[in-house]
Amino acid sequence: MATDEKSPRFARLHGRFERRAVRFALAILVVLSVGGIVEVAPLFALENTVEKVEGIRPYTPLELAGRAVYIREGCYVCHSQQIRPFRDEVERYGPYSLAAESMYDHPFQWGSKRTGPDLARVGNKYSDDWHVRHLINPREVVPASIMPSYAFLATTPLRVERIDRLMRAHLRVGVPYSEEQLANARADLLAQAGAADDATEMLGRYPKSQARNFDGQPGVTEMDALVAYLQMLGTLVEFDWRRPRPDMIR
Amino acid sequence: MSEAVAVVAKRAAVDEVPDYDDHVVRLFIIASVFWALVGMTMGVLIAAQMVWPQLNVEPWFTFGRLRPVHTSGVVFAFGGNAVIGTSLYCVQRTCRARLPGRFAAEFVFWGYQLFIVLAALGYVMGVTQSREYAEPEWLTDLWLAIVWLTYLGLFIGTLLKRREAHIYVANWYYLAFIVAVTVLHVVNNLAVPVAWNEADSVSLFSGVQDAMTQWWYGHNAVGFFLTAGFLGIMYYYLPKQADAPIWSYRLSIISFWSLVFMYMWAGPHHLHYTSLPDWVQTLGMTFTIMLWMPSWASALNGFMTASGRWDRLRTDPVLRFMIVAVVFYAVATFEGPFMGVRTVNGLSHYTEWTISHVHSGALGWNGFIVFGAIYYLVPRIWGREAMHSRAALEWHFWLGLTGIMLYVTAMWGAGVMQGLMWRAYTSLGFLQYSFLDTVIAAKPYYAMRLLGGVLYLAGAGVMAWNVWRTIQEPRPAPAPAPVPAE
Amino acid sequence: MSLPPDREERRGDWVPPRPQVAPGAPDPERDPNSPLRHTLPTFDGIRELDSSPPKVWTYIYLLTFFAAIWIWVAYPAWPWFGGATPGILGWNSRGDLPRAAAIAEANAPPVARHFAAASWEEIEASPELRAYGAAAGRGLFGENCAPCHGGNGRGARGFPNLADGDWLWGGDVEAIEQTLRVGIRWHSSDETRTSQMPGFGAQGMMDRRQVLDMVEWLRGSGGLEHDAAAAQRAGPVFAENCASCHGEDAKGNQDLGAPNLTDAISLYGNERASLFQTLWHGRGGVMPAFGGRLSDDMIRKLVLHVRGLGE
Repeated sequence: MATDEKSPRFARLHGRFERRAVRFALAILVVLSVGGIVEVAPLFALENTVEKVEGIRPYTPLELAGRAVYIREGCYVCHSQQIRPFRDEVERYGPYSLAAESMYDHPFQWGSKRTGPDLARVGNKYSDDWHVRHLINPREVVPASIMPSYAFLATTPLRVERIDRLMRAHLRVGVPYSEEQLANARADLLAQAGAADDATEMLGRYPKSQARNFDGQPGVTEMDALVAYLQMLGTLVEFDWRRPRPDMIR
Repeated sequence: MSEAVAVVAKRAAVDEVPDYDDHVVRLFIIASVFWALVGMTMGVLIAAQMVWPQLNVEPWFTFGRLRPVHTSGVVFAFGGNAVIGTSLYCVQRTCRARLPGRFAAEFVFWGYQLFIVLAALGYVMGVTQSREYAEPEWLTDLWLAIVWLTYLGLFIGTLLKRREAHIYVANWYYLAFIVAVTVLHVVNNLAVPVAWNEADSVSLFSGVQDAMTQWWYGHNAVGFFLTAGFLGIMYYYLPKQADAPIWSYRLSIISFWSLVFMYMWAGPHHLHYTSLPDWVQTLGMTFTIMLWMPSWASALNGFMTASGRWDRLRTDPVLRFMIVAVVFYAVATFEGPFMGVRTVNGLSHYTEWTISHVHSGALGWNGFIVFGAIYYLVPRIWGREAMHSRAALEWHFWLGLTGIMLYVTAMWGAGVMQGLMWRAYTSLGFLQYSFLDTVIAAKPYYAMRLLGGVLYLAGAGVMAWNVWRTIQEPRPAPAPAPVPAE
Repeated sequence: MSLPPDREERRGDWVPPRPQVAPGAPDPERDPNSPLRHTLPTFDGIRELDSSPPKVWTYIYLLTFFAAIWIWVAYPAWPWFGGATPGILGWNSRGDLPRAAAIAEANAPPVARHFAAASWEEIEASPELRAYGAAAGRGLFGENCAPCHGGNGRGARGFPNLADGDWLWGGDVEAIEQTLRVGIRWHSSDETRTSQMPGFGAQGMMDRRQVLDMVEWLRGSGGLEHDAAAAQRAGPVFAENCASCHGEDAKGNQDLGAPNLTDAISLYGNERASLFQTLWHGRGGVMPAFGGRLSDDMIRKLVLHVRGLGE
């Protein structure tokens, strides 16, 4: 489209790009980059993006393995993990989610849809037995549920040997696992699932973690891992949403 | 030799039509029709799973694993093949230049199909990043990056070869689509593989930064994949089918640069009231509001281009597909900014309202504009006079439109109901409903949505049959060369 | 940037010669909106007009800009060193919640305040407060309790029926409140209700024969079809092993969470196989502690709702 001296200024300016393919592509690249840079970069730079709260720790090996199951099964398509600061949500699910609570989540699993309820604070809300039975057949315990059944988790042994690689990958993207935690990854995983004699050391390395045989069956299954993950969700931080600390306001 | 013949000869030298590469366009169109059936069948299946959860077959065919097969199937496979195919047809003709390199074009086609197959098989086997619309894992992502850069080269190469002074508006949009998707895909999929011989990876960013990056990507998958690319389709195929001039060049310019600049800011409206800081949410909301008019500018350009041809809507189902698509584009781009307002989003987020909004865009705008373009293209690239069955066009149109209406109203009703039930307090000041109450209340709507999806899929099936029969028809005898009058 | 058109043309990639119009041929089409321009540009036969956008479009577009600017001024918006512009309204999503909650509390009906301030005695004495609490607890029950105990509180295997008037740990308001607060065998509560039904077979306290006899005794005690001779044999076994918790009369002990064995209500089922399982391996159902997760006020509403389930 040609422009002439009667064309608006912006049309003439545009004309300089419209006739040069590479220049046009570069102009598009520059113009579309602005928004992302202004919105994303400060989130890394501003210190108040992630609240400074006590109690956040990296996932234990068993929880991390359970999280991998959660990711693999695509639970996020029906369950959010993000409670909004609304009266009804804090009453229904508990205090709103903090950014700090997902700071070790690679990737985040906030979700965008609640076909099922929010899971951000489902930890310690139901018993292990309920979780296991609900995952094996949701309609046995909640007749109106439309959730798929995940019975195979209870019979699928967890690939314990994979945990070292998984934790090292998390270390590489910045999760502060200590050398001690990395060195004891497999032992800690077994200890937390109740498959070792003593979990004291593991519990010391991961404060506020829980060790027991989560699925009640011998052996460490994917069910153990997933239930361990679900039972810790939202349990690390305690705060009073009625009196938010100044650094939570941002 | 008469004067008229001399003019014809001169014009022929200037307007000489190159031998366009339509083979690869044919491949893309066939792939698009095929994946439409696959992706929409997946949609119907998972809609059925929400009505009858017994249809989940663990471990491979559960809702959690099949839902990305549906979304990738319709967005990247059906939509993606359609946009790439239509862009390669359009760019050659509006540049009057053949694609540079036959091999590159075939590589883009087969490479893209391989990407789709790898992604879908991965989901079913549990290989996924579980980041919405960016589920494929790192190896598949790397492969797509290679294919996509080849496509970029192919497209820009054609633009550079062109024999027109200017680049046509449809190609601006196609170009923005290709450039933006490159940036989005690469940045959002930055990840560290668990090991070089493992399929899984760990995303580079975490928590709130990861959420922001992901929805910067996710929203612009809508903005550039499902909007810019499809506006490219509209800007070429609508005026061609209507045989009418594009209405306003300057409106094209304003809306193009507004979309390119502003869409990238709108991602945070997917994260209203989350632990993403408020300031980012506000920015996302304001740019979402400002996107309303540029979006409507494109719709306006489409409508005004077709104005004066309204009588054809009765007789030309192909044009009708395109115009109805523009209507749905206008509707969705009004509803979008509305839902992007923080307080409205407080009600709509996490509910089926989002699903309704997405599908009014996807079924109405994306689906119908592609159907229109396919019906425009198929007779031309296979050298047939017209589509095999006109009645089938009508059937497809009405099945599709009825399906959309059922789907969108069902999910809109369900979504608003969920949002209101979740926040409902009784007069005594306590929560009125448990979450499970809202699941039970949504069930009739899920059934209605399933019916809508079945109708829409049936329409696509009619299209596949019609395309197949058109290709099967014998090629018409070549028209006799015009004999210049003595 | 106002280059003369011909110079501007030359800056392009490549310009094809302009089609020559034969003398006598019709005038090339002109753009009705830009009559000064020469021929309409065409791309593959698509002509392009250059109409002005409707004024109303332009105005609404400008209006959205003004709206955006106002929102930037009013709300937290632009990133800045150490934070972001706070907005003149002082609004933020997390600060808004306590305000909203305070407004809701201020607007709550008087009965809500009475309830919050009332003791159990006062609540028990007031039908209005009892009805209020039970109704208020419904939504909470659906959210927190129904997944195990069912929407109507009728329970499931392993999850007690709350509507049958048969209470393991006591059915008065204080007892239910305590159970809700501390849970049963709950790992992260220090005060949790604890007791253990031992695995009599697995731990060698009974042999297989005795366990099988005991199964018949239990069925007999519940008034079900059973082998009377076997039940007879189990009498002394009961006195020796079971009576300490379940009582000489087998009517249970709510201080220990020991169920009444003389009714036909059995948490894990009355079939012989499951009774055998109970006796051989023991049982120890788990209920989470809701103290801390739910406020005291919420727990009291739940108590009233739960107690009312059987009514």
